Amino acid sequence: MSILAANAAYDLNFTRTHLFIIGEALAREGRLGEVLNLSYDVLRIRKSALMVIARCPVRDYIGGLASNNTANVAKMQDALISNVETTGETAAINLSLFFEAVEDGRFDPVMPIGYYDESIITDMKQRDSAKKGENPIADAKKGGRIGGMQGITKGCALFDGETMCAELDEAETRFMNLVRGDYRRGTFAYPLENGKTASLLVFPNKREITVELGGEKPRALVKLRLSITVERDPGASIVSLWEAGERERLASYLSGELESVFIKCRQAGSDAMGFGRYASMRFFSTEAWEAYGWKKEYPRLEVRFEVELALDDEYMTRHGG
Amino acid sequence: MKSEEITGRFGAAKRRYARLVRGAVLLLALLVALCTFCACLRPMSVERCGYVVAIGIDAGSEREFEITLELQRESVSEAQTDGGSLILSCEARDVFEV
Repeated sequence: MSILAANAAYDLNFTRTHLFIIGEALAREGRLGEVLNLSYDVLRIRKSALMVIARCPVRDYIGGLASNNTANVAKMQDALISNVETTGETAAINLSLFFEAVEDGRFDPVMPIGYYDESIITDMKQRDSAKKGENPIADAKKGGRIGGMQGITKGCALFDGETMCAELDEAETRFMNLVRGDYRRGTFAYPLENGKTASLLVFPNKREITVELGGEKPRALVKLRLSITVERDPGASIVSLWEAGERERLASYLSGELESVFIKCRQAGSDAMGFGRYASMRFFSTEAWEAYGWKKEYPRLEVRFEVELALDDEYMTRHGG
Repeated sequence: MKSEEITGRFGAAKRRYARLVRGAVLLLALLVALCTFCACLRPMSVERCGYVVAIGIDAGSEREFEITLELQRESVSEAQTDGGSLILSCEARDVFEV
């Protein structure tokens, strides 16, 4: 510790470090191993610190979190974890899981992507502008966000070991989380035959994954049992036609989306859904697992998704069914 | 004669016991003093302590990495004007050099 420690008027203390933000360029060059290592214990950095990939200068992203002269990082940590469970639109990983993924090779890391949105009007920005006689809220674009932090997190970065290889948007991330088991509830957009889009609240009830390694190529079967609540149905057809083919159509749509997200991960060489965890259960020793070489076999993995649906409820709105 | 010998032996045991008790009391007093005054060895004011809540790492232009630290400073007064966050950054070889 020398450069900042010598110049800052503060004694740096790392025992409360909640967040590691890494620039996208470093992640894509596969240089995470250079910057993250297990010897952080020396600085007393906790392994529960979450990791974020910044798609902007890291300093800007941190500045966006620190709006209103408050660090907001503990709030951000909580929000990130609850976002994964309640919307599924991003991913969460801490240092401990990252090291496990990279060392054991049973799954690949996925990290949330952070953005800096300067257009968001924070309380501080509003106050500063008001002093100059401006009215930023009135001047804000229609639908623009007012309040909150300028540092936002959505979607996720896929990794092949330590190297960032692709990314998933919010909708794709939700399907990935569904298979990983990190998703608890969230709203899915469901395109209807009349061109409109319905909103469905989806709760996973049961998740079963089996991986077979004996055949010509590894195969996996993912069985998901989901409960559906219709939030908004402009066609007013989901509930009325549920037994007349809508159940099968929706199940086929969801399994198709799951498959396309899996194919995207497989093409990138990232076992983001964590099939390696289930494959490793087929081995009785670490040596046998390491000798198998899961990462070499993974690009040949074939996965079948089976989705079983149960209709739970329907919101009674004038837009609903 | 016999009873005097016994008394003498007990007397020595009592003296050994008393020495042991004195030693234990002294040791206990030292431990209490050590615990009470250890904060005086390297005193540090709360306002001098910068808790690093976030560490940012980006590619550097002159050195390997640009390291950004977000510090949360504890407020020592009720006015809370001295607390809040502070962002520091520098270029370095790794986090340990910061």
